[in-house]
Amino acid sequence: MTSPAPTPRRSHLFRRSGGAPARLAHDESGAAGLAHDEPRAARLAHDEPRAARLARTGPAHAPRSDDDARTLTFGTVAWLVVLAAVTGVQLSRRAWPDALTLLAVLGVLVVDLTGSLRHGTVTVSHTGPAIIGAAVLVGLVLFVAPRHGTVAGLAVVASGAAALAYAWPDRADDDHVAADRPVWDRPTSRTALAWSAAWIAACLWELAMFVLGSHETDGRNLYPAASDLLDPVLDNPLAKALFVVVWLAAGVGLLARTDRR
Amino acid sequence: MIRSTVVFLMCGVALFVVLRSGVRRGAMVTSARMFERAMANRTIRIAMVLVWWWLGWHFLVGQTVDPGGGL
Repeated sequence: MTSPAPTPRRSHLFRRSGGAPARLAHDESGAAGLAHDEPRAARLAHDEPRAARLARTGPAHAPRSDDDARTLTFGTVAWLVVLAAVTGVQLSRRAWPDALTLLAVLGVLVVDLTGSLRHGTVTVSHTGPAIIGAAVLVGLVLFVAPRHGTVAGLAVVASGAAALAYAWPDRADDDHVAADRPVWDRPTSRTALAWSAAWIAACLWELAMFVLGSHETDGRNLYPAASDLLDPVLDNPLAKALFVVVWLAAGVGLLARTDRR
Repeated sequence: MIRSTVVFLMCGVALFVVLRSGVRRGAMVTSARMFERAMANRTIRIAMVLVWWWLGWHFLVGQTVDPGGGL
């Protein structure tokens, strides 16, 4: 592993508060380890499980490289399959804008995995207030604008485009982030497995309801999918406001994870 | 109607219970930590953001429900 290029000190709003500086150290074999200064060591002493995990895994906290972003892992393939499946369902529903958008991004991701796309790293500074401010603005627009209208469509499209553009580039190596990055160990895998199992179960049920409901007269009432359940509820302004808040909070949370990775 | 509602709620409740129990026993990490690690991979990161966006689009803008019997 090569030494990371020195990068200017910068500030991420989404970074954990209280994160003390740490720097990357390289031994003679070139393996990267972590050299912590006093405050971080003191913090780790109060964070025993994490400290133990750090001791077990050591160099797994090395900063990610550009190649790392393109590594074909089980998770990568699984998510591509998920996107392909969602795209297939949208095609079968003849929901063309949904299907075309999903298909376009899926295609870009596949091309990216071949290494054909050029992309560098970016330095992100003080983006948190702007993202939260934008989310509040979009929330107000979506609350006022009627569902399925042009204004709501523009707000959601703008949100998605901005979120994808924000999430796409790698962040320049940041010693804070490198030091705090969690490792992909067995407990992490178990958490991912639990999430996957719950979502797969829900999606299989959703798919079954969609297929059964599409083949029978009055099928949507006999076999309601999540959309059939939520659609009438969201016609209520308060329910729609709650959905918008939850949706935007989830988006901000995902972007926060983007900066903490 | 009730059957589907119960199934979706059960999925959510089961996930919550399993995660809470797993984190307490030290067998699992928190969801936030898992997401942080998963999002180190660009493909997964973009896929997650795209699915999030599509949920908003589907329920707020796009074609949320389909007529039955027409597949």
